[in-house]
Amino acid sequence: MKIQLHILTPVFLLVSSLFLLFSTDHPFVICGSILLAVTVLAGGKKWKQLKQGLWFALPMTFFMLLFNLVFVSSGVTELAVVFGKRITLESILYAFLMGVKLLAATYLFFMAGSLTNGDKAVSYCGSKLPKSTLTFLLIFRLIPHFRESFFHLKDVYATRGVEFENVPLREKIKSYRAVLAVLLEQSLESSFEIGEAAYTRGFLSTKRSVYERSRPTWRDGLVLTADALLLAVYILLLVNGSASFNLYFGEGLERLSNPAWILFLLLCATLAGCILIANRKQRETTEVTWDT
Amino acid sequence: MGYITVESLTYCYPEQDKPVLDDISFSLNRGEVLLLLGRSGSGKSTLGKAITGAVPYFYGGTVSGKVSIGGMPIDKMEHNRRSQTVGMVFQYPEKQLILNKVHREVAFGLENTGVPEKTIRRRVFEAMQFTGITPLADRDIDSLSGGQKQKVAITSALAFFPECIVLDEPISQLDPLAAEEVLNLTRKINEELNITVILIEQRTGKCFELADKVAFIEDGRLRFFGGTHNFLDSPEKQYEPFLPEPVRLFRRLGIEHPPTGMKKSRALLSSIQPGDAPVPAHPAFRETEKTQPVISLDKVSCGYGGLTVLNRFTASIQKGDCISLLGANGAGKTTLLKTLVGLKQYQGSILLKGMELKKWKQKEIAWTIGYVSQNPDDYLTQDTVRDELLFTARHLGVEEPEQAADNILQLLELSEYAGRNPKDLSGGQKQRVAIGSALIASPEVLILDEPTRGIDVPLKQTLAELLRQLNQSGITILLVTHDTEFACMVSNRFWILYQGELLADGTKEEVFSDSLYYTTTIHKLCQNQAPGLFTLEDALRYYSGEEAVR
Repeated sequence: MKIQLHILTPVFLLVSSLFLLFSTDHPFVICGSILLAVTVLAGGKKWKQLKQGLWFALPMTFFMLLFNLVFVSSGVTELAVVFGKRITLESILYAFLMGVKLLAATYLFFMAGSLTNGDKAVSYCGSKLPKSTLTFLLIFRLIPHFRESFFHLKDVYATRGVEFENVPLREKIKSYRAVLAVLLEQSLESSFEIGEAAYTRGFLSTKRSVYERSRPTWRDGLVLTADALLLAVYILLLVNGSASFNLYFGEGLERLSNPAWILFLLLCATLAGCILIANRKQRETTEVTWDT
Repeated sequence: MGYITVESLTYCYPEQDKPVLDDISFSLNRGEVLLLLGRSGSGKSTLGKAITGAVPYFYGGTVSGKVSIGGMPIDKMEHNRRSQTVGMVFQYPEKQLILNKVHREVAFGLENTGVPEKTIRRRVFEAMQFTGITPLADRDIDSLSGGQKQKVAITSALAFFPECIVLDEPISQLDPLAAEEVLNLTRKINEELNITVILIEQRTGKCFELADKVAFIEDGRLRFFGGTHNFLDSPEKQYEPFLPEPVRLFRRLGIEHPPTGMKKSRALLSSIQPGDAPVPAHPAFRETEKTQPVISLDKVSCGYGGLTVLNRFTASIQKGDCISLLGANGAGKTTLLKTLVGLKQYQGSILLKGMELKKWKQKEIAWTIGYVSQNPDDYLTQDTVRDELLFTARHLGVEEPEQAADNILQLLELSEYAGRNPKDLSGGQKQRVAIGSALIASPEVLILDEPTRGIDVPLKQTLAELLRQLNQSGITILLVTHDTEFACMVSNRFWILYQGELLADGTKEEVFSDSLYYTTTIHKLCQNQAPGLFTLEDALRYYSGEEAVR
């Protein structure tokens, strides 16, 4: 998938999707968010990110499940009593729902990331907020160095006899102290060097111009219209109380069959389709080629 | 008055009293190439940064004197004008490239300095065409090789259409092929665009052919400034390590006004009658013991991320070997070293002293194989040099660690620095600390990953001496280097690695004699007359009967 939307479109898309997701625990909203994000990611062949999201969400879901089993007794459907502690169906379902919600949020961030051209974002934000952009630039450039250096230093210290595996937690923490000390120092040096390279190339020297400025097109209009429509339908559902949902007290269960939710899910799919169409069309017409 | 003039420039970094630059004055004409030489820490980079204005405007500190470009003092120049007038290319390619795509990276500086949007695209395209990186335009920077990244950095500087470019050790991190490409590009930029070039470099071999003028800095003071030939003819002993090998040979043979190019040097050499000495066999190496190998590798393959880096690598290391491993960047050299010290998973078989490496614990491997990474700073976390050695000794469970540390301090001539903070040491001393750390458990094998990377020539010679001593004392050595001269100084066996496979294995005569590329400058120079000459010492002994003094 070639990223060609204006830099602000994915931002609006992310903000509105997160608003939808975090304003309720309603299963259809969570499903809609998953549907939207997964369709866009799969359309862009972002299999790695889809897998990463699962790797992140699965242990968290397990942790929440464990937490709910130990600490939460609310709910009406009692499954068992262990050491005097009630285990309810609702607490299990709620943990599962939260896990899926977390997965949806992760996928939405991945989706926004996949729709954003990092370099264009720097160009755009650099012309609006140059100092903040420089700070983020440093962070983004440092993260890969940081990761690479961390593994390299771990190797070096392993050859110096430092044990990182099969030792008690306390020892493990001590083992990483030397690695982190070097890492911190090298990161400071690296950030200084990146800052210097940007400075010598005139960063913060004057008002920036923008290379290949992206302007909103009808494709942004298409995506934003679909997004606005989805948001409008959701707000109506919110206003008439259909979006209220509380698993523990059974609130909202009777309104699950509201046909408006079918419309909501259709609009989620439409939005995903619009995003894919907008990007695909753009690739055919304006891809930059530099062949000599 | 020259195009770039530096008048009585003195500079101290913030919170430091000792000037890094001390009363520097010189003048450079438009379109000239200045080769800036000196030992590590002498102030070369700081001088380059003073010309770009990063010193003092980015670093702070106290400065006196004046730097002018085209008659305009840089303190009167606005930041964006300075950036457009003087570009800078740094040592580490990955730390100066900021964006993801190549064409956007080239445009980054132009955006910063407010170049009109319509002009940027044309400039980006032209700069990429000039440097020949147009096919890379849409590539992700992370996917490029070191040499390609350095070309992108040069293109980014060139996109400003600057009047001057400062290159701060642009080839120090590159393999010889990439280094040559970068130097050729530098020549093209200077000759075709009349851009003034200030080239700071430690690997000076081919730089003299580019340079119109040479400056030599020592402890922040300008010791020499003048024409290249005046520098080559200068009788000063301290300049000698920085001269190209053929020039050093001619000087030692008492020839005045030595030429710089290979062709002229070869012609001159053919007129010299050799002395009585035969072509030498190198005497200083320990004999390899033809017993059971210390390490033997059989069809070893390994890689990462679906990429095969080592491909059915088969070889063995005998006790007493000192092997130099050569090969282009990305050939799998570092991966091989890391595999040998148990840091990478592999397929095939690696026998360490007859036992499969996979059965050894990491600590047990460290007792037998000491490993020194490229960057000595990786090893410096303790308050004193002695503590640094003790850190490794205690983690490896060395008996009587105090005694072991003292022995290593003595062996590596670090005793006088035992109580000093290792971070305050010079580059060469830091490297000795790193080597000491690897030697603390008295391993049988020492593995060094590019120990010559970024170090100056005198340090390189000291390191070669140390490694020869260690090899003489019975330690088997395997080192990675791009420096064939250094390899010939220290090694008795040579491996060439290409795409994870061993292309050549043998003595320097076997590996370098019929090599087009992997051989020394002296061998290239002398091979018609005496094919067995590889080092300056060999050539001196052959032509004059003199025993070379390093």
